[in-house]
Amino acid sequence: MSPPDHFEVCYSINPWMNTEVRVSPEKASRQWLTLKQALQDGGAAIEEVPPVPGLPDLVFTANAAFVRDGRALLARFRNPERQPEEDHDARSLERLGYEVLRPPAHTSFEGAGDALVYDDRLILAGYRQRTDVEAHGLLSSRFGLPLLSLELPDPSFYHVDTCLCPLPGGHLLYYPGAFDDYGLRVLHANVPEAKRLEVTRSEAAAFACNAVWVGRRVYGNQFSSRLQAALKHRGFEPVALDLSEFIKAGGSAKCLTLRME
Amino acid sequence: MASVQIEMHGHLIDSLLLAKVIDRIQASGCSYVVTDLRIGPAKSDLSSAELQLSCADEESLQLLLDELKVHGARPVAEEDVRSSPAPAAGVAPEGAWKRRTRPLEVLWLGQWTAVPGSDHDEVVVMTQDGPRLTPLSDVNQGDLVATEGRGLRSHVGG
Repeated sequence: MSPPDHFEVCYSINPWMNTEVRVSPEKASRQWLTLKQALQDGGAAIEEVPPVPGLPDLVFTANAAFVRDGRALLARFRNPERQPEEDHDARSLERLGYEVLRPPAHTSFEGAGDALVYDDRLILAGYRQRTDVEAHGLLSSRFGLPLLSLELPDPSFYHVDTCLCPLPGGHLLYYPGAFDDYGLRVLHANVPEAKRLEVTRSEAAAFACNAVWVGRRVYGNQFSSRLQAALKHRGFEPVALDLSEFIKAGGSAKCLTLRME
Repeated sequence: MASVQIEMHGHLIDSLLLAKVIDRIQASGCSYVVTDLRIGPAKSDLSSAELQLSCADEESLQLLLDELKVHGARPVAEEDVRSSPAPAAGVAPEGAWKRRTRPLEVLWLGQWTAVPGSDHDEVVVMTQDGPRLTPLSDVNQGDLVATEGRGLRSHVGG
């Protein structure tokens, strides 16, 4: 995680960002610390990446890279506003002992924002909005895992982690409306119906899918009572935390963390 | 009639990418012939396909190409780098590419890939993880060494 010392909305690169909306630095800091503490209470160890002035979105560490087995495929950001983050992310990951690989020139890839491991056996990867589908072959071959390419046609769900969240035990939280028919057919062919947990548009708009889990606890900005009951029925413990300041930039609990295990 | 050869690499079958591209071609009124299809034997393996596209005119073809490139289908322009095994440790195979200028990019798995290495490295060895600049003294017998010709360029973005 990276503290939100320089977090603000000073540019707009997704439909959630409005530069006229002010971020409260105090509130953002409080919300971030609450998330950090909650994750630690759940048993997670947190490594902190230093914030950098002028890079407000560095706080969204999920986008820094895809990491697994001691290696990191670094992001190559689509938007010039975020491209200066890449070298900082590379240094941070190297300091943490990761072998850092970079995507080819001219190929956009936005790290764990667009690549999620499902059931420890399969990468679910988004393309179109922020990541080029050409990055997927590289991701799969470098990490030796099968991969499913899922088009993200809706700019509001610009990373796959805004509309899909793999949970332990092969469960999958997802918003069907963020995918086209091909993507849904692919998901349904690979995730058993009993393991699929559909999210409504309003739940997805409250960033229910942008959740992070530790053990059986699932942390997110907001879960409807329906979703809380559904998660509990499957043996999970939903933990809702107010992350409203970060929603102003289109990110929530998942975007604020990069899973390192 | 306007025509072009396109290619795709990746998880084309399980992800329905090839099916999507073919559906888009049919919806556009253009026609196609699959001229090459290689399906990876394991789920983690990549597949590749080549299709000959034909449209009524150049404008229709260009519109379709713009739509298809999002899904990774692009005109065939260049081919992957070729390599030959080193005949002995420390010996480059005949026709091996040798360092001239840095930085270097290699066309590998259909993508231009920046090649890591130091200023003293001499040849490009194709490792499991991609192309890598390597001193000739570190080349082992049987290592696949990139050869002169296609799929190599010395200016990033060039």
